Amino acid sequence: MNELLNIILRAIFTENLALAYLLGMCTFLAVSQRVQTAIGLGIAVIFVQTITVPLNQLVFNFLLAPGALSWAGLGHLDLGYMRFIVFIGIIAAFIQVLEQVLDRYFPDLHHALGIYLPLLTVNCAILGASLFMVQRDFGFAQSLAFGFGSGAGWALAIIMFAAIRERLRCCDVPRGLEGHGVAFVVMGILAIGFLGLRGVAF
Amino acid sequence: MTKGKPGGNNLLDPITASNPVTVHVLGLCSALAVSISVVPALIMSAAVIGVLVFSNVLVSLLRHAMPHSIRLVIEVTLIATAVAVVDEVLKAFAPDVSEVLSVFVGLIITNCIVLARVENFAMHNGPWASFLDAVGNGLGYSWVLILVAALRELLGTGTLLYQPVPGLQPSSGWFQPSEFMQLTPSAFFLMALIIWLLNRVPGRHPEESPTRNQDDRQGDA
Amino acid sequence: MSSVKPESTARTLVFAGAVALGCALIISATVYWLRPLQVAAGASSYMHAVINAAALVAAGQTLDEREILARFQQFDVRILDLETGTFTREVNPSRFDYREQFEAGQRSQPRFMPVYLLRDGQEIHCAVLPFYAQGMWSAIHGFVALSEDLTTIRGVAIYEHGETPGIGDRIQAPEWLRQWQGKRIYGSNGEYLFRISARPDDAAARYTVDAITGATVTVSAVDQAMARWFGDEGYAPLLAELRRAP
Repeated sequence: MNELLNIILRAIFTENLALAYLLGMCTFLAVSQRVQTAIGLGIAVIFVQTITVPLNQLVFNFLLAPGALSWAGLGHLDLGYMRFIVFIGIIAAFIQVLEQVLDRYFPDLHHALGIYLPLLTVNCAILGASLFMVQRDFGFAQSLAFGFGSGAGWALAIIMFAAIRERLRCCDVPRGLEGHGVAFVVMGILAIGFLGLRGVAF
Repeated sequence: MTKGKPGGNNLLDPITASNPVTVHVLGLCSALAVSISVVPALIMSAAVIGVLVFSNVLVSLLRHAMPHSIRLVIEVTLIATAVAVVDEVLKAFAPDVSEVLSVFVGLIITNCIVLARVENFAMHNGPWASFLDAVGNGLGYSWVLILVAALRELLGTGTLLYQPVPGLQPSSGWFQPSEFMQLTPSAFFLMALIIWLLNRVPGRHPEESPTRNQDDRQGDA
Repeated sequence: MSSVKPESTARTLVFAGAVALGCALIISATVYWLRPLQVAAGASSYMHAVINAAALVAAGQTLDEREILARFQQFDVRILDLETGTFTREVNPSRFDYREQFEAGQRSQPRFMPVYLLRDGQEIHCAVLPFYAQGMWSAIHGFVALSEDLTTIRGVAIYEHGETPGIGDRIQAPEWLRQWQGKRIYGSNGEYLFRISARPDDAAARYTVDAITGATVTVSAVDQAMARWFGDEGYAPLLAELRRAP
């Protein structure tokens, strides 16, 4: 149990996908003008991460990993090299299905999250979490914890960033730094803050 | 943005005036994560150029046959194929660098530059123009990445391409390499610095065209 | 989007199928063609790490594959049975990869480990011992090379890890690994004294390597792994035996 809690804590604080690995930056910069939208996007990321990382873990372990096909008498195969296509396919398909389901049964939720969902297919953080899962040999429970933790960490980072950016709008930013320039400075300072949390663990 | 221009501009524009990284802030995820030292940055640049050229040219060739309803899926599949091939090639010919780049090669799939170029350019232009556009955007991405990496390696460890640089050595130099440059926040600050310098170049006002940025971002989705 | 053609479901399906098949073929062909090269490259980088640990080449000198193989062949490769603490002939050293034991679920305690010895006549001149640690996320694999007294560290190499870039991955930095050279693992009575510590201690300086700022998890993982591998459960009995009778 402690191990899973540690994975969650590390994924949120010490190894924040956005601030330590710089993943998902495109979406991060594009959709962080207002806190409201950042919260919506953050929740969508948590949701998608928590499902796609364990889902990809199952697919990887039962179809792609070396020897994974032994149940079909094909134990000598190693299809690990197919993981890029398979993972991105699963993520894209899952997001499509999720959108349809939300649209059909939870129109309110769809209205709130719907516009962000398609963005997430090409969010590096989503694919990155699944690739880290393979590299780190996570089991199913660990994948679940890591998916949730890394999603929550990303959400935390973008919400904080959006809140600061809202304030920045009424600031007098030096010429040439307006817009993206000052956004990078803010992210750097946030990342320094997160460096201070490196020792966090159970 | 979506019109084919004479060859020269397709190649040169994205390197400077409409640089994908500094002007449109696309494709940063992988750009900054591998910018700790120059060698991985060089290999990463080559990988991104390879993937861009492969997918841009292929999509451009298939653009008339491609059913509109599934074009995004097809584009992503082609990009993922190119990335898988590049990853295998790296593992075979540069195993050490492949180890350093770890998951970031795979993340080229979600590099917004690639999908944005495929969707916004290759879908509307011929293979030759798409090839030039791919090389141009790849180089535009590369020079920023390599510059950031060179600064971080020089100031962070006192080496360049893993070779010690006289004057920057901890024992004898006039500059004490700072560990901070090896940590992620330094990448953000350097990016801010580069954007600021480019914005201060007379006659350049990249921020003045928000509508164009908007178009590119929709390409991400 | 100017020239959208009329599309039928059948045509869409055929197109999607063709692209999927084409992509699968491209990737499979690449892998089929490159797999032998990758296996060779993997073996080569493993051997290179052993050579680097033993400090057989000057820093900055690069070796091509043939030179790596030639140098690696100078080593006398033995397989250690950790249960008995002696060399065994049960396992064929030439085809042995200790990491293959993990798949069977023995990650914490493998039974067999390879040991690479450089001999000067009968005397052991250098011994390279593999070790691994459970790092922040995934296993860290490396080698420690000992000098002829089988106590002093001659060199270290880390050849596989998944630590955080810029933080934990500095365990691979040559500047840090160079510090290990000349440190002693065992005291005069053979007791384990080696430590990686953030607090400098002059009395124990010859046994202590400085920790890396910020990389607490990674460094303490390596520290604990060293204590396990060079303790009584690991290589200590073998090393004591070799010191008596090489």
